[in-house]
Amino acid sequence: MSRVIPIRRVGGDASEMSDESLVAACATGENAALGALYDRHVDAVRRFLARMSGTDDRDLDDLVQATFETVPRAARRFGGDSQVRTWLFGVANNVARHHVRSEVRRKRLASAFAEERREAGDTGAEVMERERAQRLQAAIAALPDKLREAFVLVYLEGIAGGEVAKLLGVREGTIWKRLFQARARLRESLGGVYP
Amino acid sequence: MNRCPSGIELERAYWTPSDAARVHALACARCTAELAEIQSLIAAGRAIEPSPQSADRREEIRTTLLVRRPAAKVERRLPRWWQLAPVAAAAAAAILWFAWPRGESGTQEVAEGRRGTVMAHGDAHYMLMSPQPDEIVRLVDGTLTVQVQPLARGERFRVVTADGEVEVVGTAFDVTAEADRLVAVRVIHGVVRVRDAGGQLHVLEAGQAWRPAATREPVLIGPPAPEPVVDPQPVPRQMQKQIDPPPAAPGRSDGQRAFDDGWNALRAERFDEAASAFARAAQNGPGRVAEDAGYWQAVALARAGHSAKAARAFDSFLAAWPSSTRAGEASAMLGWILFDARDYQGAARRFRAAVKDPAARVRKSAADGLNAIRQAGR
Repeated sequence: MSRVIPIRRVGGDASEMSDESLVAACATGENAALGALYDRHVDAVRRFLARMSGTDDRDLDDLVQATFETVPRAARRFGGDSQVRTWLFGVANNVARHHVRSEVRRKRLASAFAEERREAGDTGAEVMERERAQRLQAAIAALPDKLREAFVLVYLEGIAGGEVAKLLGVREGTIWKRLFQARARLRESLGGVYP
Repeated sequence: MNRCPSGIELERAYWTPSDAARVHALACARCTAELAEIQSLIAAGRAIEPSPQSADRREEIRTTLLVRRPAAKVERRLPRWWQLAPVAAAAAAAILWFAWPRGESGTQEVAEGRRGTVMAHGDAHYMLMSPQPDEIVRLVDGTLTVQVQPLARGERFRVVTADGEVEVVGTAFDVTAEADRLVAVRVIHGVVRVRDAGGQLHVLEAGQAWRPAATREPVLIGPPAPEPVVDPQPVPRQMQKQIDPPPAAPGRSDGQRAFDDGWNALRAERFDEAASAFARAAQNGPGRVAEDAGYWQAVALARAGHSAKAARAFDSFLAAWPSSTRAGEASAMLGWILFDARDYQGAARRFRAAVKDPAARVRKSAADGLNAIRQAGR
């Protein structure tokens, strides 16, 4: 905790504070800082959790809430050596990892994606595009945890491999290997080179 | 590099512009095809977006986060539940939610970073939660008179109960809760918005009052409103006169004093001491005090981390007071304790008893519990 700036109270407008200051304030139990952090990052965290867990909306919101409820506790270990958004993804990843541990859940999810529902007014191209996206999402959801988290963090969230390696506590080379393995598995699941 | 890089090297080359293998890859048809595949996966994957979150749901989560006790004080109580599943977190949140002690009786609280002045009637149970810009007062039981200074742009002030909330913009009002249910709001001046247990919004102006449709008995919501005042600060003298004085100490029974001791200990987070005091109150207090004491004794034990004792206390409470307004909450909390102990059958029975509770939060907690049991394959 010595690396976290101690802030007793969020004065003035919390929305003007830096992300790092908000995390530090969260660590001291400042709910206003947590609210500001939530406002600032909820969309990114929610999208990340959707990609990581592939759950329905109700479960997704529960995961979002669980993530931000974990933030004050996790904030005391935040060392400032990664961007706050990346660190939040790490917190969310731990929450999601427990959630998607059940293989049965993912298989059920994958089969749910396979049920295509055509909506009125859709053109053939739109239906095909949606089917394609659903197949990809199901294939991502079916990846093993370690491959999926590397794939989502680097490919989909655009976080540098080195930063992801630090976040996950592995060497950078391990990230490149996991990305390669994830891509190979997706290629296999999707029946050939993508697209 | 003359040879084609491996797939792993290609990954690194794609994401590292200065990588040596990139030069070869960009000039090689086979490698370029792989890079194109990476690019296609990125584009297709990033196009996958969750359905938008409703503003209400977003606000609901935000409020839940803000009314929690600071994490630094609750950390030691939560580890196993957090590790079980997100739904299990609802149990911890539920215990904390219902476990806030009262504010000072008959006193006025003004704190740094706040716009609201809170005056408690009698022994109202409340707690000042987050400061501005989203100031929240958590009211469990009793009546508060609240005076809110004009808010700046982006600032909010709310009084939240388990089943509703009152949001104001520069006003003064009375708000009453019973057993964590919002039962009355009366506006002295200004405008307030009341969100009831069903999520419906009611806008009240000066002189208007609100009560839920199915209040079981008349609720005293304080003295008549004073004349409207233009400047909300300082607190009008008329209003100060109307605040009920704290209950006279000499008239309090042993059970009531024990109950007060329990609250003081709970507020100071001396949970074992609180549980003992509530146990004395449950034995010696009159009916309503004994009922409340039984409930809070179980909560204190749960907060102290004595799960088995808390389970027995909740069980005793539910047996003694099956029609208590807190029965649903107690059932849901007991359900989570049993779930944590892997007694899925017992937990399911308790969750089922809470799924029709009047409070949406309790119903949700119970439904989450039943879902968690199903996911556990039981």
